[in-house]
Amino acid sequence: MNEKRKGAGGGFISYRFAAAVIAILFGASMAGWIATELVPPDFLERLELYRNAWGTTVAKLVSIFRLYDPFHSFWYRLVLALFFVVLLLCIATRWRQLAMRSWRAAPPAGADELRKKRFSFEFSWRLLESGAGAPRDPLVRYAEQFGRAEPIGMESLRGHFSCIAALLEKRGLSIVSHEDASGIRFAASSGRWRSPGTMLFHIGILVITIGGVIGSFGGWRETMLVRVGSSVPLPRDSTRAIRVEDFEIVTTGNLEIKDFISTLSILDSRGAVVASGAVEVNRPMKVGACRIYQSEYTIDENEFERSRIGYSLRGSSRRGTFDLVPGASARIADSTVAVTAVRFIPDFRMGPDGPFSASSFPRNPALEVEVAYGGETERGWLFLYHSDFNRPFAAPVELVLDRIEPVYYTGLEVSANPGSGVLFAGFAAATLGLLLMYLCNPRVVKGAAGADALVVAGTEYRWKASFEREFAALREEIRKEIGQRGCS
Amino acid sequence: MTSVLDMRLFWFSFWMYLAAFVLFTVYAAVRSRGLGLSATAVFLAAFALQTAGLVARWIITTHPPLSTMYEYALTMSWAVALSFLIVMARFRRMVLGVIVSPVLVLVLVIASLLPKEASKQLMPALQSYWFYIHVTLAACAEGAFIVAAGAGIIYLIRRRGDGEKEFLPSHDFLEEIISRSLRIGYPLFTIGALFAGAIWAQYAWGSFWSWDPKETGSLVLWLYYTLLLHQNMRGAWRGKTLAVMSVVGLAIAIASFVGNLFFGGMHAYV
Repeated sequence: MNEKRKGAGGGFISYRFAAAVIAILFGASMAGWIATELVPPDFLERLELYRNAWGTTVAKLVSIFRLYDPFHSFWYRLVLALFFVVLLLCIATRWRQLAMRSWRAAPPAGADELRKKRFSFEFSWRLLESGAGAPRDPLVRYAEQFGRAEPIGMESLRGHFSCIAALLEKRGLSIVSHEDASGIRFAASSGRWRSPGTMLFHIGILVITIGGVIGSFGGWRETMLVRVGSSVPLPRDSTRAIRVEDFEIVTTGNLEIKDFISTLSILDSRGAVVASGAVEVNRPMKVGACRIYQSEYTIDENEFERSRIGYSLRGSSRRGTFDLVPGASARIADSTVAVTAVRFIPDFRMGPDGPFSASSFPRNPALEVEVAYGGETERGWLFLYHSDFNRPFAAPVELVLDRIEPVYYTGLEVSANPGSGVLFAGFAAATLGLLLMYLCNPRVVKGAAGADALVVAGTEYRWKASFEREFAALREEIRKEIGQRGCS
Repeated sequence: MTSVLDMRLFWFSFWMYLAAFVLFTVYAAVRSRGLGLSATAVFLAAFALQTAGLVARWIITTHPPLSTMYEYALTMSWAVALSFLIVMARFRRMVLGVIVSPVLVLVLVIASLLPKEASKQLMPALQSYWFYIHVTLAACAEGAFIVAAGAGIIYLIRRRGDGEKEFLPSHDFLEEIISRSLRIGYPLFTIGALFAGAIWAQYAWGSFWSWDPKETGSLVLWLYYTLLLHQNMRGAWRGKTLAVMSVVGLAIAIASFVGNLFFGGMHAYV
């Protein structure tokens, strides 16, 4: 695909212009990539702050060029549109040229056209036949010396050609030939699927762009946090709702998270279950045109279903457990001690401003309780996994947190993308195109076998150095093969 | 969970690659065939140790070593070393080791600075066969880009017609190495990093593309190599330009690779 071929084939968009557009898209993407790191996404919300810090002009420029979200800005969309139009025009105006190139190469018009090629060689039949070390025929030597190669008969020529054809076929080249009174002209080629591959790849990228545009304008996604046991309407569908039946965090023995699983039911307008299933990370659930994804989860601080507290009364052998629910007190049997849940933290950490939750995952659940005894109250933390750190109370009771059931909110993402089928088609076309482009090694060897001489020329489309080696090897093989035939 | 065996093998292979680098450098200076062969032997030993380390880590973690940046860097450097050995076996050019070994040492130095915790449990988002397709192909593609950049550097070092012909490979040969590496890397990157990544993102996050910093970095890299190959195929960027551009491409690839350490986003795994 060099400049000469471009000129020969023609096209509305030149290769140079297409390259310039790719370069512009590269530059725009690079600029956007850098901009997203320099300009915070909350720029608009904190405009005044940035205006003071950066100055009015810079803040105005950031706003105009939407540098806080560059990939949805007018200038980036303009560059994408330019890329799309140029790609479309390239395909529309060059498809015939590329499709034609996929056919078998045509034999040359004559030997002169071959002599101009970079990779070419010429043999006189008589010299070839005489072999490398064989004594030369004096007549042949005389004729060659004065620039006239000695001709051979048509039968010999056919024999030599079949020998050359076998050598070319052995190298994976398929041959077309044409015989007339002047001799045999042939073209041997391989990897001709590269051109359709190139076309398919370009079409694939175009289709992907179209799919992206359809998805961008016609698609939507919404995230929601749903409490286990509750229902929410299915976004953009007034007739159906999602009910979260269960949410489970699957962990390994050392509390590494294996999976999040939400069990969902889809309800119709009357509340009847029309579909149900489990949603896991990487395993969405399809409901009509949309899909439901497991995206995140959370545990609300202070909120828990119930907890079980173990107690032992000091000075007595009495031990037992009692359940504690949020907002309610529990009195320990045979005592005047009352316990109330104050605060729950799923992943307890102590910071400079007091306790906080390091994450939503119950890695270190802790419950703050208030113990009332003899008119006095005191507060302390109870830890599920680290009871050694439990607060010792002045009241004659020791408490341990046996179990706590947090209230989970599963994070679901519901999305629909009408362009996804188009995108998959684009991926398939572009992948197939790429494989054809890069697995095929296109090369053409053309030759004109006249009555007196053989002229062969080769054209490489990819590996100059390796084709040079291959062409030299082919030359040597032809020389040896015809020499042996001539000697025999 | 920390593993001892794979870390020991990592450090052994690291020091061996470093030794190979020193030997290749001395070989380049004195041009002794014996030194070149010794360097190649040390390199081979380092590769064997690295392979053993990767296998050990795979066994310890029970999943292919691709889930953290350390593992990714390790696999990518392994792909580079393998490419070098294949090129060596085919073309018998020991001098390529002068470039490949320091690049490998550099990648392994970066790897050594990354957290190396071996976890048996892949995080939920990574539990998909798309993960293996996406990351393996991307690592191989970036390995190919590194080889192209290495050949590009030798191309730029080599001066035409100054009597170096016997020692350094010819410009045509180097151009072919660059060209072949790019033509191996580009489809792998396109299919693996972009297409497989987008399809996986659709299954995991509900969106093919989110303009996440890593995604944008990959797009930038892909556009760069698209431009480079587009120009190269039409005969415009060849020779020295191709060599320079392949080296610049590596710089963008490195920025894209380490970008998630600074940029965050959905690819913020370490």
